[in-house]
Amino acid sequence: MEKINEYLNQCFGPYVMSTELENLKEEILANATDHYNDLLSQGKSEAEAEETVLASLGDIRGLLQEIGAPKKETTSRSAQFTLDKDLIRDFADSVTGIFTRALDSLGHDGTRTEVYANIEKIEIHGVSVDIAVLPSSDELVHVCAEGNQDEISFEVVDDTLIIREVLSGNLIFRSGMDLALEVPSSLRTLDVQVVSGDLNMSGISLEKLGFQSTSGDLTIRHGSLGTLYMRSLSGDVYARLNDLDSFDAKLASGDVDVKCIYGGEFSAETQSGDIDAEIGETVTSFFAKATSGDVSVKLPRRLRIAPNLSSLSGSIDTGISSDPDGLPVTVRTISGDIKVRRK
Amino acid sequence: MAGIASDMIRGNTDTILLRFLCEKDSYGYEINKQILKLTDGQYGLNEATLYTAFKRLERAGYITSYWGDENQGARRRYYTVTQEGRAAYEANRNEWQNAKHLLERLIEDGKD
Repeated sequence: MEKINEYLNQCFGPYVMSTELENLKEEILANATDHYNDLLSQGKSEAEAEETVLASLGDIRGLLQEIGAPKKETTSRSAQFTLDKDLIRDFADSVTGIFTRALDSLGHDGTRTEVYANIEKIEIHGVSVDIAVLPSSDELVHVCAEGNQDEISFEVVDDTLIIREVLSGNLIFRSGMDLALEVPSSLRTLDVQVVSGDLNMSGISLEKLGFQSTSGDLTIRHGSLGTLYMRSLSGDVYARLNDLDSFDAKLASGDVDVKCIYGGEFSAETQSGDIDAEIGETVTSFFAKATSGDVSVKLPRRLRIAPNLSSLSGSIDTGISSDPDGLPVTVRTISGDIKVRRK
Repeated sequence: MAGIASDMIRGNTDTILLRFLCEKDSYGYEINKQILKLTDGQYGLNEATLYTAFKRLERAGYITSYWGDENQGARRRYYTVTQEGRAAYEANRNEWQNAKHLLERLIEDGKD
């Protein structure tokens, strides 16, 4: 069993031994020992038994990679240490305790509800604001804001409602703000600029939706939009729409997943995210660029298309015949794969 | 017996493990022994595949695990199937039956 023990030690060696890894190692050892003893009782020699067991173990290193456990760090001074989890947890608790008590002394958490009439545009600015938008059952805008009430401000200028998350002292352990909006069909524009909040919408029709975030995601379950303008660093956009006259999204690592029944102008760019688009017969222009992500496009059955697809090192898969008078459909990637299909 | 059979068995690892655990609680080596026996020694899962599958099934809530009470050396890790696991096994089994019928219709030329 020596070689088997050695092999396991070698595989587990580079890793920080968590409980999960200790358990796995013990489990593997128990199974290997059973196997080894069985082989011995079948008359195999110790050496043969060891070889057979080692072969049957397979790719343990690969298994550990897949689990993704943290590896030990070796500095040039060869100072190896294993993290004392209890010590760190106690430390984190005491630090959080200090900040939580500081937070409690600044402002007060609560919920505030406001109702507005004759609003055609809503602007929301914040740091970490999660926003949910649903249709209202009357002609009024209902806003429910949950969070530190000292940090929320509402202002109405003409027919525009401006909601701001105002930063007060504590910038580190922010709990952020939750906004729930119910809006009438007379609302025309929603413009959201946040650092890390998500925007979730369902059943809403707007002339214009603008969403700019550093890491917030945009999710639209169903609705219709005139213009959807999105800029984000790591946020994703997921949208299922009836109408989308103009789609303009530029993301760095976010994914684009958009399906609409009609459609107009479509332009999506992302660097490392993927683009998945399904668009309807009214499409007037189509541009998708994913630097290292994959692009998958589904186009209407009867639409004449002039595909203009280029990928530097990815594969291009399209069953669509090109019609020089057709709609130019441009898809570019550097290393991603391109798939263009009909619905 | 490399090739198709091997791929298909490996592709159905989860269902196979669930089958054995639905019969009784067991541990890695014991299950692998039974697989070897049922395939007349032609096929055995390599253990890394086995452990990955166990983790996957545990994460999905289909099985849970506990230590055996051997008092010498390394303890065995036993697995037991959950309600969800039994349901998943039934569902997978039905899908397999369906796949089997479809494949037969497509491959067999009815000449035998």
